[in-house]
This record gives sequence, C-alpha cells and structure tokens, in this order.
Amino acid sequence: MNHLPTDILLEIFKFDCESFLRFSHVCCRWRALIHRCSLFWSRIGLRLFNPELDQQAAYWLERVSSRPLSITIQSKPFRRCAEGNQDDDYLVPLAGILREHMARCEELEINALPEQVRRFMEVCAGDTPLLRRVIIRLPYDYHKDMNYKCNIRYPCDIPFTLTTGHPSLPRAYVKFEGWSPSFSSFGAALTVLEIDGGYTIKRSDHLLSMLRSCPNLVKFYLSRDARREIGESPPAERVALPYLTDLCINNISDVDELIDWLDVPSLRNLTIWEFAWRGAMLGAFLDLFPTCPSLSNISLSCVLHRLETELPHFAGETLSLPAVTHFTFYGNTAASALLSQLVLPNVQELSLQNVPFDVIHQLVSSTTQLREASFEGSMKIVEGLPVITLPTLASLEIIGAIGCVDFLHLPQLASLKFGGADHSNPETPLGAPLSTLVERSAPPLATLKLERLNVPDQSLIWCLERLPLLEDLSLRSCAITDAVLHALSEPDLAHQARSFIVPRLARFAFHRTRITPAGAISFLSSRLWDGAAVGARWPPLEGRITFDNHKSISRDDRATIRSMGDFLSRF
Amino acid sequence: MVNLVTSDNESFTVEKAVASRSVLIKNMLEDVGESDQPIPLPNVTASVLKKVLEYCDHHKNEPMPTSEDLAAEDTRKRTTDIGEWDQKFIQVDQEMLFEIILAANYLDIKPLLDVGCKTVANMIKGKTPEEIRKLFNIVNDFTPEEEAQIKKENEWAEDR
Repeated sequence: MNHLPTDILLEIFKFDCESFLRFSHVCCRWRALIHRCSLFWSRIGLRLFNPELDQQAAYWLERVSSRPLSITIQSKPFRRCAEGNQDDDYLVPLAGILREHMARCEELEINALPEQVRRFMEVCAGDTPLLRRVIIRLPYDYHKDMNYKCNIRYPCDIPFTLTTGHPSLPRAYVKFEGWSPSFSSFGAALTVLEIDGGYTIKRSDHLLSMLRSCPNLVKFYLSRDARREIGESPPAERVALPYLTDLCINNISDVDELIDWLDVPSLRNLTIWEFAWRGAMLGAFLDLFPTCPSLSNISLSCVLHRLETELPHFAGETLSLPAVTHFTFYGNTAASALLSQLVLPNVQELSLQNVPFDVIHQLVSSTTQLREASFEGSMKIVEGLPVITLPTLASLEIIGAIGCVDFLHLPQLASLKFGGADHSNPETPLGAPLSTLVERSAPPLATLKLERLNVPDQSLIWCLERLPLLEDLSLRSCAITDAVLHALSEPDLAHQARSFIVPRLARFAFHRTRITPAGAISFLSSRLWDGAAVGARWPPLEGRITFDNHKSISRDDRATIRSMGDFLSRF
Repeated sequence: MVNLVTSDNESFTVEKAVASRSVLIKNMLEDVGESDQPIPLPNVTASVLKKVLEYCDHHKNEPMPTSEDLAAEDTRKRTTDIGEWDQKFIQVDQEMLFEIILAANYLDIKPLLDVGCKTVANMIKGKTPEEIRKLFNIVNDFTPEEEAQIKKENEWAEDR
C-alpha cells in the first residue's frame, strides 16, 4: 500500500473524506499527507462538551489554509445539558476563535440551546460574504425545559452582514427548527428560507417584518407545531417578494392575515395546508391569484368542520387561471365558494375533497387538458346536471359519491378507482355507475380498482367482458364471489381462438372478498396454463389473494396455491 | 491494430479502440500517426497489462470521461459504488490490485484508476488504524509526541 504515490493515496482518502482523522492515525506518511491537504480540514465538527474545544478549533484552522469553511457545532440533548454540564464555558472561547474566520465560512450548522446560539451569534457577528447555508436546530428534547417558551419567545437574531460595496449574488439557504429567525442585512442574501418554527411563530407583524428583510427569497416554507392564529397585522406597506416562486405554509389558521400583505408576482407553487376557512379567506385568495400570472400549482387544504354549511350564493364574475396545471383542494362546503368562482382551463391534475358535485361539475366542464382527477369525500350529488365529455382524462379516482360518474363521458379513461366512503360499512352498493360508464364511454381501461363496494357478480362480469385492454384488476373489501373468478378462468367463447375475457390481465389483487380457496385455485390454474401449444399467448400473472376468513384455508389448499407462485398474502 | 510491448518484453496486439482507452497510448498514436512500430510500456509487466487490456476491452464502447467530468469530481460527493462487472474484475490479490492501480495511473485510464482506488477505499472503510496497519503491513512509526497528539484528537471526537 505504501508503495503507491502520494497523489493516488490522496485519491483513495478522498473517497471517504469523513474518516480522514482516522486515516491520519495509521502512520507518519499518511498523517503528513493528510495534514498537508487542506481539503480534509475545511469541515470542522465541534462538540460543545469538549473542554479543549478552542484548541481543537485552532488545530483545524491551522491546517485549513485559506479554504472556505464548513462549521458544525453540536450541543448535547437538553436532558444532559440540564445535568449541570458546563458547555457554556467552552462556547465563548470557541466563538472568539471562529470569529476571525467567519468571513470565509460557507456553511454553519448549530444544534444547541437558545442561549448558546445567541451567545455564539453575538460574538461572531460581522461580515460573512461567503455564507450560503445556515441551519439552526434546538436540541430535540428542548421542549422539556421549564423555561422553554420564555427562552424562545423572541426570534433568533442572525447578525451576519453582507460586505458593503461588494454585493454578492443572493444564494443563501437558511433553515430553523424549533425556533424562528430575524435578519439584519444578511436577509438580502437569502433565496431559500425554511422555518419549522414550532411554538415561536405567533404574530403576523413579526412574520411580515422578517419577510420584508428577505427581498430576494425564491422559496419560503413555514410550518409550526400545531394550528394556531397569528392575528391581525397592523396596517403597513405590502411585502414585495418579486422573485418568490414557492410558498408553502402549514398550520396557520388565519393565513389570510399573511397572504393579504404579500406581493408575489413570480409565484409558481402555492401550498397552504391546515388553515381554517373563514369569510376573509375568499377575498384573500381571489386578490392573490390574479397578481400571480405564473401560478401553475395550487394546493390548499383547510380544516374540515363537521358543521354543514350551505355554499354561499355567488353572483360575481369568475376568475380564470390559465397557467394552473395542478390543483388540489381539500376543503369543506363553505370553502368551496372559492372553487365556484374559478375557471381552470388548462388544469391537468385535479384533486378535490369534500367539494359539492355541482361545483366539481362546473369546474371540470371548463377544462380542456384534464389528465388525472381525484374526487373524494362528501360531494352532495345534484340531479339534472348535463353529461360532460372529458376527452383527455386518463385517470380517475372517486372515493365516496361514485354516482357522480353518471355525469361524465370519459372516452380515453385508462385507469379507474372507485371506493366506498364508509369504512365501517365496507359494502356500499356500486349499482349501475360502473356499467353505465363502460356502456357510455367504452373506455380503454388498463387499470380497474374497486374498494369497499358491493358489486354484483353479474354486473362486474358484464363490465369485464367489455374491457379487453385491462391489465390490472384490484378488488378489495368487495362482495364478489367465485363466479367472477370463474368468468375470468373460462375461455371467451365469442372468440375463435382460445382466449380469456380480460386476456391482458397481468396483475390482480383480491383482498377480503367472498372468494374461496377452491375458486382461487381454479382461477390460477386456468390463467397460468401455458397456451403456447395451441397458439394462445397471455402475459405472466402476478398478484395477491387474501381470504375473508384466513383460517378457512386448509393446509392442502395453501400448499396448492403456493406451488403455483407467490400469490398468498403473508398477512 | 496496435502492438504494445511490456517491461518483461512480452508483445500484445490489440484493437486501436481497446488500446485508446489509455489516454497515454491514445496521445502517442495521435502523435506518431499510423505506424507498425511497437509501443513500449516500460512500467507495466505482461501479467498486469493482460488484466488492464481485459478491462479496456470490456469498456471499449463506453464514452471517455470528458474534462468537464473530471473537473466536476472535486465538487460532488464521491461514492465508492462499483459496477457489477468491475467488482468481479477487481477481485484480485493485494499485490495485483496495487499493480493495476499503478498501471492505470501510468497509462492514464481514469475509470480503471477509480475502480482500484474505490476498492482500496472500501477495504479501509470502517477499520481502526490498527486494523488498517495489519491489513497492509504498515508499521506504526509515530513518535511518543505524535501518539500523545493522536490520543488528544481521539478524545476530541469522543461523546462525553
């Protein structure tokens, strides 16, 4: 090994940079080589509980030459800090040493108590022209501190500054976990800000003030530990974020108090989850959307209230959003007021939950590009609506009011999932909707999945006979019997060559149905029969079966099915 | 075809596409032009060249690494993953492994050099300094002062 030239040895060490210190403990040659290579020393990992922390930092910095630095400072979990350890005694000397080098710090990650972070920041404040990544985390168990809420009541001030007269391109990523930040001039360097602020995000004016200090943000993610209000903001100028493309906010009930004040003309992706719908929300969204001409992806999820509310009457103009291609809305009846005013002509993927069907009907009737749709929850079907043709829809999932498919003509549908809504009553009658769809649209279905539905055998068989392209059939908690398997096992006498109905069937799942082991064995032995000898060809079969009463399978049946392949579910 | 002569005077006639996996040979061929003259390889023995040519033959249709690829190496995180065929190819004794690495370095065959270096990196991954010394017959030649500093470095890394 030691006959290898130094440049090759270094190449070997570089494949496992994190172990460089261990390699430097092997022999003098390796040690000298590693000590001369500044690359290895540019990542400094410091543990606050090391009494020689300042010596360690100095030792590293001596070898790092003029390279940019990546500094990680790690405290103990709060539980161990509280045991009387003197971490803080080591911190200030360390900060004193690092302070001189912050100008070439590229990455800074600190996992420590709030007071430790504050003290470090105070000492190391200053110009950081290279800093492009800052991560601040509180110890995972810090909430156990009795003074936890008091200690993080105020945001953590990031006192780094940008060199005056040498503006660098904004490119910094900042992430806070368990706390929230405030910025001085360093805010202008930020392009991505991610705050998992736990308890600390409390007031809209604080949030707006922080955002005002980050005018170059491209992506902003904000989340808190539980849904709470941020309160009304005192009147102020709107916050201009001209480059913001991604805005994601979770768990702020009165999110309108924030978005009302944002000016985000470049917004492309908007995700707001876990907010409470209230009257002001409608105006907030309808004011926001027209100012974001590039907005293509909207995902809104408001809290579901059990209270049934009538959809407010609306008589104003509708708002067309031609750039939107992906739209998700998990709402309630009241929140659907927003949808009743929108036109999404180019939406390609639509996912709606708890939206009245007349609103869905109105929305999809204005689309021309819809490829995937998913409707779930309480949909309140209104009779008398006209049938809409959706010529581009390839995938449809309906959980709940499956009757709404009666109003859709889907000539290109390749994938269909129907699910009963009631988990406690697993056999909601499917009735005619599937047959009506198959008869009206003759869809080229390749995938059919039915869940928690009472599908009469003959009705399903009738449909399967008309789905020659079906490759994937999944029946879960459906009341089908061996009659369906028997139909799938028998040759289709309508054709001259020996063939099955559903000749392309390649995948199946039959779970919690009324089929018996004997029916399954007959189905498998028939579909696994090698038809090559008589000129018939069908794809290899894979799938899973569970029986309604697992104990009812005899040992012999189990062995027979296993001998045919891996078809028995292990659960 | 190209004629290569090893340090122990053995001659190998190989396709130009195979020999040209070596940047050293490729440059020589471009400098000399079409010629029947054998190319001497004074730093490579026949047994090692045979292995190297086996590698070059297997990879002869793959694109050569570009200067951009090589420049990007310093910035991206390196992985020690090795392809299935390469793993089997490099299952040789330690002496041959190091000879292949030296030959790949001399002949300037970067992908083969990487396979060799990754193999050694995988051999030392997770091992203690003592285990590494034992694996490669390396003598612990630290002075007592250096040993004391190493002890300190280990303490810095300890979770106390």
